Amino acid sequence: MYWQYVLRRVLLTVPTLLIASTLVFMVVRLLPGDPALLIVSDAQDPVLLEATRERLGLNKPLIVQYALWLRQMVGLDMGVSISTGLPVAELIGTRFAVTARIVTIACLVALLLAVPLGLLAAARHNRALDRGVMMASILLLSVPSFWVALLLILLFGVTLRWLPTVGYVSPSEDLLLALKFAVMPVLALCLTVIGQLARMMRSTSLDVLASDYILFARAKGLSEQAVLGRHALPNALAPTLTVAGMIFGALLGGAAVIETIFTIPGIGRLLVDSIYARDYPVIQGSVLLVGFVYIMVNLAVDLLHPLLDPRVEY
Amino acid sequence: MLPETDKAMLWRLLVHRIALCGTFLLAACAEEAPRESTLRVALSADIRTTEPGVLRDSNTDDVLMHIIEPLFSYTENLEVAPLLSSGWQMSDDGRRYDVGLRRGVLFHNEAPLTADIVAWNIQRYLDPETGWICRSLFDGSRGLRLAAVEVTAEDSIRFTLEEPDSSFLHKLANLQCNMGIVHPDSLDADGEWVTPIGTGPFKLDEWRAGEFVEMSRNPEYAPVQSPRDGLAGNRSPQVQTVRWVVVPEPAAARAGLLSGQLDLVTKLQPADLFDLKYASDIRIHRGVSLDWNVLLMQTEGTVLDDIALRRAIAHAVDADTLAEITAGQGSEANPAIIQPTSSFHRSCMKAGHVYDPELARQWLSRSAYAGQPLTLMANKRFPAMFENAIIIQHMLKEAGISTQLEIVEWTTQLDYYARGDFELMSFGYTGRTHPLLSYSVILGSKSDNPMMQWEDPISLAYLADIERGSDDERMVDQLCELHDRMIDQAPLLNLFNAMAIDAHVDSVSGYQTTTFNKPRLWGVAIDAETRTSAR
Amino acid sequence: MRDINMVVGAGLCLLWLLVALLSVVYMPYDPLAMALDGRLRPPSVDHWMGTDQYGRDLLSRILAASGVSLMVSALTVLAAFTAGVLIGAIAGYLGGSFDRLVMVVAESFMAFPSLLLVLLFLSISGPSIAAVILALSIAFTPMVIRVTRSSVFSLREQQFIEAARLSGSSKSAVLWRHLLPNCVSPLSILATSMFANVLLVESALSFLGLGVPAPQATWGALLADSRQYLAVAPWLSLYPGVVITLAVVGVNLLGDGLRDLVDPRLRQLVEGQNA
Repeated sequence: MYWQYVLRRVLLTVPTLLIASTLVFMVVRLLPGDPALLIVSDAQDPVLLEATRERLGLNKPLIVQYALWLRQMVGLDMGVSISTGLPVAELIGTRFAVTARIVTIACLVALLLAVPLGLLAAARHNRALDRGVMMASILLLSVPSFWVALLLILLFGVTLRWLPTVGYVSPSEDLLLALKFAVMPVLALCLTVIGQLARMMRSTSLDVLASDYILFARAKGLSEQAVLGRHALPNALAPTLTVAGMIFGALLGGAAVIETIFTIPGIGRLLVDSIYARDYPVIQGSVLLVGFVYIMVNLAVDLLHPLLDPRVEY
Repeated sequence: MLPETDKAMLWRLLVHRIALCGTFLLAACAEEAPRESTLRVALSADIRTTEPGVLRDSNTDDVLMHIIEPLFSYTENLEVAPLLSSGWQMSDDGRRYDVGLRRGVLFHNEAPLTADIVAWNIQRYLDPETGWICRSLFDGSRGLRLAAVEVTAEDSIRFTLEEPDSSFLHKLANLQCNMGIVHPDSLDADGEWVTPIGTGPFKLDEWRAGEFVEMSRNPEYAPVQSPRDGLAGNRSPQVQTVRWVVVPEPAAARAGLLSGQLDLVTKLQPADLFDLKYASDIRIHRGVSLDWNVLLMQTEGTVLDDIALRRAIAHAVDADTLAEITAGQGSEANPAIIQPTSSFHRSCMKAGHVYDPELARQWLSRSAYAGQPLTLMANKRFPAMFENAIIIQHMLKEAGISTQLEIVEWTTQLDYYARGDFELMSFGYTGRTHPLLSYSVILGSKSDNPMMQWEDPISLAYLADIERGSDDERMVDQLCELHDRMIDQAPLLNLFNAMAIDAHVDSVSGYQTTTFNKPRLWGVAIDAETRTSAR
Repeated sequence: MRDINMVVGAGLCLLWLLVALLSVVYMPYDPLAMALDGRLRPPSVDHWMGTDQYGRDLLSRILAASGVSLMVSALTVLAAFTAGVLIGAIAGYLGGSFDRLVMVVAESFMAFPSLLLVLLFLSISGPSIAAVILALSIAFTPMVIRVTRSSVFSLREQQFIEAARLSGSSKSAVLWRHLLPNCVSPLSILATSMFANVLLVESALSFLGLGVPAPQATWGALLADSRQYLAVAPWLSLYPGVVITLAVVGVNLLGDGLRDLVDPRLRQLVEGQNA
């Protein structure tokens, strides 16, 4: 039963991705503006413009371009970037790895903070701690994150000079330096997530704490720590993890603004840049990758759900 | 259950731990050995490629000009000066140019520069397969046709033109064309571009797409003996390494400079200076650049074919105020297409439309304009174009002309521009180094090329005359005549030249802004000892 | 606790509405009037919130923007809900192949971060208020479809619906009179969280230069443009930032209060969607 469900879900991603990629192909070509023009505009030369279009394969009929692209995709070839001539697969691969690293850390940090906070808030329902956590989390998810990022740079980067503000260092090069570079972007990313997850954790914990078996556990005389840690936590965690998974998936493609502010060469910024440059193959490739990962993350979360939460059955 | 005291202990321990981690982190930030002589320069977007003149943009040109060098380049007041060449000799009929090569110049792979290699480069650029963006300047489609390129000696090469052309050397030195001479090993056996093996003061070390371009000093560099001047003269490198860091967000670039992670940020906007000028360890350089800002008016098929309306607009715009706000204090309006620093600039080119709201109203009443809003297109990518549009809207409103802003993406605006599909457009041109090149950007037939702004057969004839002529005095007269016609017909409004604004930390020395608005890193040194940096 | 939430939230939202209405009849200055000799002035008696880079009064600009921001958020939510509820309800009620098709398409849309969809759309249409609203509502509609559909789906088999169907009501009557009214509470909660989200996404759009175009401005645009002057004119960034935060806090608190009022059990559903 479970495996049938898994198989069905996996197969369902194929039409989803096909629809999505066709959509993206069409949408991208509807964009006004011409990548060839961006390259040769300074020459002010219509003949050269036409020649450049031809060289880039932009003057073929749309349907032919689509067929060519589909054939490439079947061969797992994503083509080359229009504006740089680099292979798309390589380009989006390295960029995606950068984003994935930062976003993973941000989500883990957020989970580590939000889960205990939410649980404690629920355990102290309607007391000062609860109110404090709730107020703080509402505040966190209400502040525009690019504003926070700018203020962080102003404080820790410019005024105090504690942390670097520009660029990115891969942990394989220099772990300590990589950590220093990651502190502010991770902070800017995870504040909102902490808010979302703490609220989620609190509300599910409240439900769990009100259930019969917790009452029973308390009646047995178990300590508060034992009740919270051994009984409430495992049962309340599953929905929070589900939401965390969804946020994780969304951030993998949606961290463009933070990446721009902190100059992180991630996939979000690549996407925005390639939209501006009308670099069709790069837009298509990265959208497809982001979409695929998002679907897979959600799928994984869904599939893990019954394993994490003993109450859910299929 | 833990007794209360134990719990308190645990808490205290936890707090202590956190504090400890914090201190550790800070300590780690503080102890950072000074790095060796590396200059870190912000690049507003990644380079497109390492191949010159093909998939180009200004960032790509800026980086590559340090690695590869053309035969000729420009001095600060826009005179052509030899760079890889030792000089030139023009034949009496103006059709033959004999160009000598400088001796002792080595490529980065230590191969010597020869006339054969130069000829090979020229042929490669002219080959349609290469996709060089300036081919049309030499193949006869826009006037000049390069009939032959011959090697006449080991260090001498002869260019033969079909017709004499006073701008030939300017076209060879053209900045956008970036006609750098590279060693044939820059290409692989199939003729595909691999890496630039040039003769420049720096060698390309690593390009990590989206992150940085790193280049190091060329120890074998053989400089020209004359002092550094514009992009010509002595180009000796003074720093060991240059790292171009890709920083697309201007706020991030400023923060990087202020926090000591970037040493030099170029092409700043006046608005950026608000943050920088109060910092004690930042040096700011400003200078008038070749890039010029314009208000385009579509004379074909819109209400703006009405010359009275165009004159009304011209008198309603206070270009001096505009210059001061958009380009910063000290900037002045320039009604000419030729920049004041150019050796071709004359006082006749100072005449333009004076700011006079009363006159504007008079012209407006003589026009067919009936109060309908005109569309004014601009973009946010280039802050000057955006700010000009906002302020021009305000100024036109005062004069009774109603406009509607249409802020679009730069790419989109460029498309409208290329099709000539607009009413008013706030636009900017990259600097052209010769009056002929400047005028050929705007003057031409709109039906042949919608990118042209000014269609005037008489002026076009002047232009062709200038191109063939070789008498400089006559040429200046003709340029004055051209300028007068342009002001009279008001096909577009030249506003002002953009300011080149660059800023660096005070451990950098020897840097100067150039009129080309390009970061020029030869002759620049950095004192790694005095640098107070977070990194 | 829940009452305080509700009161504070409703109070902030009401304040927003009042300010937006006030700005129609009164503003201290014309928000677009430039004073080129009074640029970047700090807060003073004449200009309570200082002036911007063109000497425009910031308070007046924030007042004027309150209406624009309110309109963008409200119309986006309205449009997304009109389309989403209609499609979602029909899909959930009819089931079968139509339902499957709708869900595959909705999933395809949801596979992309909403910011990206909006970015692509706006690049095509060119930015204008209408385009920003349309783009945002397209990005948010699939979520409404999903929530409506699953609510209708779960209600479909319940006894009172069965009873209505047996008593001879037409399909559409069952849908409109019996099914949809029972989806109101989850949808109203989704609406508040979406309202808050739209405000934040619109700010991010402005940051990327694709928000509501100048000279009109939303709070997000004011905040995004202020980054040029962060160190020299911090008030330009501070006031819009605080105003946006307060507005989003208000809407979120209102949503919380609403949720506690109608059905505490709905928390999980909606907070799941919030992501």
